Amino acid sequence: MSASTAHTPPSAGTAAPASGTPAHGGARPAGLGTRLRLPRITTLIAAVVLGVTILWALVPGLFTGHNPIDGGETASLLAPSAEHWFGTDQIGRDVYSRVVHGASRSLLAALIAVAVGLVVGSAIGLIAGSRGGWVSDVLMRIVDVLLSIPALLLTLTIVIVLGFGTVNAAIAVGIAAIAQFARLARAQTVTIMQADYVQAAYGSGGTYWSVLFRHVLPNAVSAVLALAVLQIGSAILQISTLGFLGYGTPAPAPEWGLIIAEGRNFVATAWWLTVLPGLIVMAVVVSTHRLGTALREAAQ
Amino acid sequence: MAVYLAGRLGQALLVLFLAYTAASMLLMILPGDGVLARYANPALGLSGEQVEAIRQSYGADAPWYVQYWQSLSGFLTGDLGYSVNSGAAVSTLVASALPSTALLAVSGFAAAVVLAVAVAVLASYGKPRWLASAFDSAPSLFISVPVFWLGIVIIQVLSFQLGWVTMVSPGPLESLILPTLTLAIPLSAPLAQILIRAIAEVRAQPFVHVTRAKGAGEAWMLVHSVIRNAMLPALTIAGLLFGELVAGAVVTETVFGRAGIGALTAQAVANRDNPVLLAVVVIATVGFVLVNLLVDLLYPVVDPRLRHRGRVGAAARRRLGARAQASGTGPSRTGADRADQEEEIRA
Amino acid sequence: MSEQNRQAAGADPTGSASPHSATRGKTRTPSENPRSRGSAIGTDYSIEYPEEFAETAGAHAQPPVLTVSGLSIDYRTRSGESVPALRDVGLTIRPGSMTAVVGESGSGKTTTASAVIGLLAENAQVTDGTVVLGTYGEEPELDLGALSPREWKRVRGRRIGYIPQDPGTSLNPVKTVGANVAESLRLHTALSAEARRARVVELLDRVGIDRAAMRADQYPHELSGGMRQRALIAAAIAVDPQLLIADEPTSALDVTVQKRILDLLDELRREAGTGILFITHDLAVAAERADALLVVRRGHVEESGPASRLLRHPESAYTRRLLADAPSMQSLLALGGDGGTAGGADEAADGVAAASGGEDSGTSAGAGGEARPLVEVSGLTQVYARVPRDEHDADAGEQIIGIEDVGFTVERGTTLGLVGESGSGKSTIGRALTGFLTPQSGAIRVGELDATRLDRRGLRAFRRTVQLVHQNPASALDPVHSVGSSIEEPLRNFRIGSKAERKGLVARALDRVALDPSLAARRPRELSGGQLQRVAIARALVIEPELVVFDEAVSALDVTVQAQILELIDGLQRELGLTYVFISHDLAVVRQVAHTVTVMSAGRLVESGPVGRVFSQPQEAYTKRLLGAIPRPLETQVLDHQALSI
Repeated sequence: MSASTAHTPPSAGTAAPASGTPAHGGARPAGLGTRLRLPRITTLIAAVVLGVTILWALVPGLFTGHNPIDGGETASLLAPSAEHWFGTDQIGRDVYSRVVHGASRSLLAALIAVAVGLVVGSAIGLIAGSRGGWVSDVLMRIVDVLLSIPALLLTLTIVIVLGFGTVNAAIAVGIAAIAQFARLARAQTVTIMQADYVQAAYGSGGTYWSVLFRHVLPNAVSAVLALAVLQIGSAILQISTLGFLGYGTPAPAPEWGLIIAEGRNFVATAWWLTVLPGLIVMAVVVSTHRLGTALREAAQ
Repeated sequence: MAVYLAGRLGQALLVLFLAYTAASMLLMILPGDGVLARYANPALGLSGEQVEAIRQSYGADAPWYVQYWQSLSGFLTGDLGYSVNSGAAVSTLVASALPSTALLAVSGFAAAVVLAVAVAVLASYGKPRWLASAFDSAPSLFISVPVFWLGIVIIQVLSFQLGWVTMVSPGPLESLILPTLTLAIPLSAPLAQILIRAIAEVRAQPFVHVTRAKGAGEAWMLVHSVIRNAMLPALTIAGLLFGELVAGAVVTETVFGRAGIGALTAQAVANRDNPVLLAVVVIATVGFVLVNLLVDLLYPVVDPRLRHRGRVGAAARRRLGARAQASGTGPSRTGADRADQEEEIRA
Repeated sequence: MSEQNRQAAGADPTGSASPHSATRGKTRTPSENPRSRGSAIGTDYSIEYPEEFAETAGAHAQPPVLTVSGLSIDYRTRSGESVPALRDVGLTIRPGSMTAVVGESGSGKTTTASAVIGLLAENAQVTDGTVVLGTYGEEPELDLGALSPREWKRVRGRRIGYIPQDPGTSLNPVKTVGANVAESLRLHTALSAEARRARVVELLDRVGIDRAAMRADQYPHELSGGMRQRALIAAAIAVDPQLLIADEPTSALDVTVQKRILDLLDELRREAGTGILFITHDLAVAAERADALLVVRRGHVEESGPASRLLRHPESAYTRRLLADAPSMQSLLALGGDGGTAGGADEAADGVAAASGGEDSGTSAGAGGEARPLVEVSGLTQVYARVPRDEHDADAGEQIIGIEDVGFTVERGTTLGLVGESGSGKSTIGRALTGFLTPQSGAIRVGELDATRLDRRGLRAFRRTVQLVHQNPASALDPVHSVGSSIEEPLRNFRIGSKAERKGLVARALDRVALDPSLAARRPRELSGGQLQRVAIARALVIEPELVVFDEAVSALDVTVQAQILELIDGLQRELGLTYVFISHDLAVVRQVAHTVTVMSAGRLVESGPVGRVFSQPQEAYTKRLLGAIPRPLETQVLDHQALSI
């Protein structure tokens, strides 16, 4: 018998629902509870930011009237003003408009990356976790390999093979993300399979498949979803890094990393070319991080 | 104990071998002929026989398994091939680029550790409450900042605007400051996050409560009880940190114009110089594997439960591995399980 | 320091000014009275207590170690409202005596302990009352409610020692045992490292740990649970505190180990005159050892007074119910030692006893039938490892991890109690019986099926015959599905009935376990522990198995809930003709529910037979020791009472 579980206070004997007792474990000063409830407000802000970004991606025309590709007659290197919120770049294009139009590219790429990682990675993890044995070993060795090559180098390698471009960059990032999802899915599966209710399910006459679909998947979903949101932010960062280095879609396409790279040479005189788009990227990624963390905490 | 280590070593070698195979497949075998692509460029004006001769000298005309075997044996003996771009031996290129990158990496890592510990301690123990909360949110911010953008902004602000550090022919130490800062900030984030969580978890443990009941103050407990226990989960993300370090080095060197492995890599990708890229990938993978092996060696030193042979030790490892999987902290057994918590930090 | 306490505890034979002692001519002191458990003398309470206790040995002259009066504590919830945790709690502890605070979960007993040591949660607020720590040699009396954090650091560990509940997690795992014990010494004394080590070894030896010097250099995970708890006690007494707070110190331990720890605590307070505040949910343990009892329920003191009085003449209905429900109380309550058992278990036991004559035998006629037994197990072996036993708590010899050569039978319609302490192998038997483990050798026949020779289809058929109820119902139910869906799952798996019919079966199953069928739509997190266990039982019964294995199924429940569940399954057994195998470490519970019992130790079967016979006339030494370790508050109280009134 596991002695430590014998008599520890479980549930109240009465019919009162579980939420009743406030910290009756009493004497422990609340190490975790001392932090303020900040996430609540910031989660809302994060959701708003992401919502706006998605709208930028879907209906960019709603947010800006300027042409992101062709500056026309507009003067170059104008500072931010009411007319041009983010100023203009070296060939007179409105920077804000470029950022807004770049959103769809970045978001789409991020979604592709996460989709690849999620589908393939979760499948691997699920099988490895539920089958165990040599199947698990083989699959996790493959995941190990994906992990041991630092992500940037892995994506660079794949991009070299597939060719430059945002979509290819997305696929590369997705392949690198497979390992994360596989890891999580396997950990979740293993933990769930060890739970008493899974044993009880087998005891009720369940089969491998019925247990997988009725018990493992529903319980693993929330954690995987939280990771997916976190990975969207990570993918945006990685794809914009590739874009910055020049391996994404070439100019004149408005890609966030590329915008920053192009503006780099003018950073001394026209700081808005790099600083403002970078802040946007950061805001979006922070928001996904907040949202993903909130989802993960809700899952636990 | 020795068996455990031998097992880990064997696994590591296997992973290395598989990684090498995968990378060389992608970079050497599949694309077929980098040599042809390079030298068959009409601008060079080489005749067909000359191109063929060059191909032969590179060994690019041999069947794929021969190329594979030659490359593998080459790597094992220190011959890393030849750059398609410059014709120089890759090993020479790497050897000359490594010291600069190593220096940057070490200083960046050290700075990141200092920063992470400071943030974690302030986030866990800071008074007043709002200060602690502010530091608690810092890692989330740090991890979201694009490294390349940060470098540019830091140059702009600290060098051009404030003039604290000069970018124009700086001394060796001075030239290290800004890149180190750029590298350290995003790198510190995952470490800080895991430290914050670990400290909170440890402080909620019964034995900490018992020590408090003996009359210990928070500071005494931090030093005597909390730190060593909180280190355990932090060790597990060493591999992750190494990966981030490599990525950060590549970008930072590009932004700051430093010569090093990062710059080498960027050039190689731009020029489709596959042999160089392959060598860099292999070296980075070796580094990753070594770091993980080192961590595996360190675990039992830090956590006595893992020193036990037999049932207790195995049970301890299993228990800790399961806890790691469930809560995202704590050491794990195999390389695959190890950074289960990585997924929670990478953003 | 302990000298003062000793004197205070009444070792002064000239008896300062007690008129009665003059009359008696002799003052009974702790050291003189061989029957005394420390001091049944000298405790008083916020209510009056019988004079017979007041007259002994100058009780009034000793200043109390701890005085709590009118203590009230609220918790502030996140939404800002105040929830009362304690209301008007008062108690006194004199040097050398033990006051026990007894209550179920959520009763506020832990909050009381936290308040005394000043470690309440951040959101807790003391709204009324005082906690006063008595003088101690040179140290002054202290109002604990008015101490600053700095002052608290000089009180905790030094004047108040704390013994925690779970030895598994209460020692710093990366420090040696010696370092853990030495923490108080480092905090409160200026001893050198060598002096500290010497003191640590001395302390470990004092608490009964063998090879103390070696143990001090070991790590906590290398020690057994009992030894770890001793180490925790050593750490708590390191600087000779005047008060010890023992927070459920034996709840996580086997009953034989528990007895030794409680003996140790008695010794300590006798020698050093330490006062002990003992928090527990186990009324029997409290009543056996404590001088005074405080029964709390939902933050209120239901009743308080001398232990013996509470035991024999409880005034509050709640106390009476706790007494009635506590299994060990129930089985030993009736005078005469053996006691009767409630319910039909006894009658059936007699019937079986008559038929099978003491030892298990496969050919006995069961209660009411000439059929062969439903369950027949023989030669069951699953040995994981053999390790030498090295803890001095146990006998010498080998310990088998697993089981070896276990055999027993269970008649249809009866309950076999499978009893053993941790590591005895009883869970392994449970897993083998329910088809979750294929043993290395042996045969398990249930009905017509042999569990050891099942292929996959056979295993599924086997599941219709044998069902398992787990210890922790919250983890045995999928949190994502509704309770009704979980109950329906077996029906669905075996394709029993149409969808509509299944709904009806689920409703009937819930009804049978005395739950409202409308609960079927709820999630597990909305239900209490008792309700969840009922759901688990409903799920087990919905496919109408023949054998149900209960693996520590009531161990995690409060005593009153436990009693209800036991009553439920007893009724179900009679109504449905079920056969049970009831695995438990708790002898008293087994005594209540089982007809036959099998005692396991270290992987081997020690003894088996009808429950009445085994409990009243145990044959084997281990069984005797196991039975001897059950708290017998009534006996000890009776004896002491007699001794004192001479």
